[in-house]
Amino acid sequence: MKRLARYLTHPQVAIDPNIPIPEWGLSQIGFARAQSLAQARPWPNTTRIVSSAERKAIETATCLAAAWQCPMEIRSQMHENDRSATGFLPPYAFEAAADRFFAAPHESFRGWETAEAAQARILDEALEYVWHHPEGDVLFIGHGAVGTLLYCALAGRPIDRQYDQPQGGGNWFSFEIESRQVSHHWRSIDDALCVPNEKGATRAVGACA
Amino acid sequence: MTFSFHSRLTGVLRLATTIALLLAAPSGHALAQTVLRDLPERISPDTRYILYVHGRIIETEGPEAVSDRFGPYDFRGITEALSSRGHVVIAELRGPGGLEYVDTIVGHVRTLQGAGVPAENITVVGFSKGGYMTLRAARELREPDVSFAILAGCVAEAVAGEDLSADGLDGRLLSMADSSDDLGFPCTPLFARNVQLSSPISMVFHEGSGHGLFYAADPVWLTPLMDWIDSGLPEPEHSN
Repeated sequence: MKRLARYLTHPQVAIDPNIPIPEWGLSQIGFARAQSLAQARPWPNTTRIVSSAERKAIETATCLAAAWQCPMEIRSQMHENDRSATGFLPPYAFEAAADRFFAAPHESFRGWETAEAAQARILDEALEYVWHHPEGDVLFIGHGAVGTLLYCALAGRPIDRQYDQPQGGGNWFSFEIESRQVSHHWRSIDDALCVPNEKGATRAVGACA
Repeated sequence: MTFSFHSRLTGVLRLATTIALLLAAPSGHALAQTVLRDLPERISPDTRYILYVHGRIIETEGPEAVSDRFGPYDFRGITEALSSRGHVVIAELRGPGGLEYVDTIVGHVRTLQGAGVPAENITVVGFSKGGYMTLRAARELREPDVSFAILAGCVAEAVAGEDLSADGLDGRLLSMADSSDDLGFPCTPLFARNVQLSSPISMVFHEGSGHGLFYAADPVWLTPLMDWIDSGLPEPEHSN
């Protein structure tokens, strides 16, 4: 049986410009979506949940780990691309910066970690972990930018924002652990709520109508 | 004399039973930080309590303990961080001994409950030897709504199933350990054996600091710990 690794981005966060971005937690909507996923249990072969150390990721992972009785691991090097040089940017400025981040992957935007460096980091983290984890499926919980960079690396695509996740977060892609072959591009966790569970029943939760 | 540090500090501790600090939180709101060295004389049923059970080194070296291997044990910083969200932290200093302090933990939880504190407002956080004793207290208490956080407190025998003295435990359980720790391990196998536990969580960090991870008042573990503690509380009532 093929073993899968899934990379899931945290859902919506409560934005607070007064605190560092890594300390942002999930918003009420984000919590609700994470809890819906936890209850739906769409990936019963998951034996490990591996989270970035950022608060929003840990909150997502904790929600799933508690419901699925899955051990969780926290890896600091799975963090989002380091944007501490600028801190919080208002949405219009952030979008422009993100465009630049992906468009010039070897250049640092105003002190940000470059896309190439972030990609090398997240690829090392993911592959090193699955290499040492011999059983079951693995669920990574992380972030949109580094998740996209991981997707690009595994799918053999150039770094390009066209592969970025849809708005809102709470999206995942999968890759087969042995071959590293990507199974699909980003999908919303609202789709995962429609996946047949371990008993073969299809959950009718959220968007699964 | 084995109790040398205790005899030196007894007088000081009696006088300084309570450290109450008022610190300005980042948001500008003043949060009362209260760290006690014993149960308070007056227990408030509306207060959230954390019992912090320290590691073995403080038994002999005191609250300023420094390990040759792991460096300074930031007992004060850790207990103040635990109180930063408004919990009253009870961080007793115990002397050298075996596991008799398990009975003290059990007694403190019973006293808090007897004074009307709801079980969901009580958390026991134990590190290393203190974590192992916290596990044993969870076994004695079997209180499903009391929270127990085990920081690098699962010894190899308990993980392997050779030591079953904590099996049968109950409560909200959280295990935290660093993957490079060679003294205290994730409680995952113990949790798996104890199917009566409701949603235990095992967090493994990869910081490379081993047992020393929990010597420092590091947000890496303190933030998820505090978030987990708070997540077990009833939803606050909203008023407009």
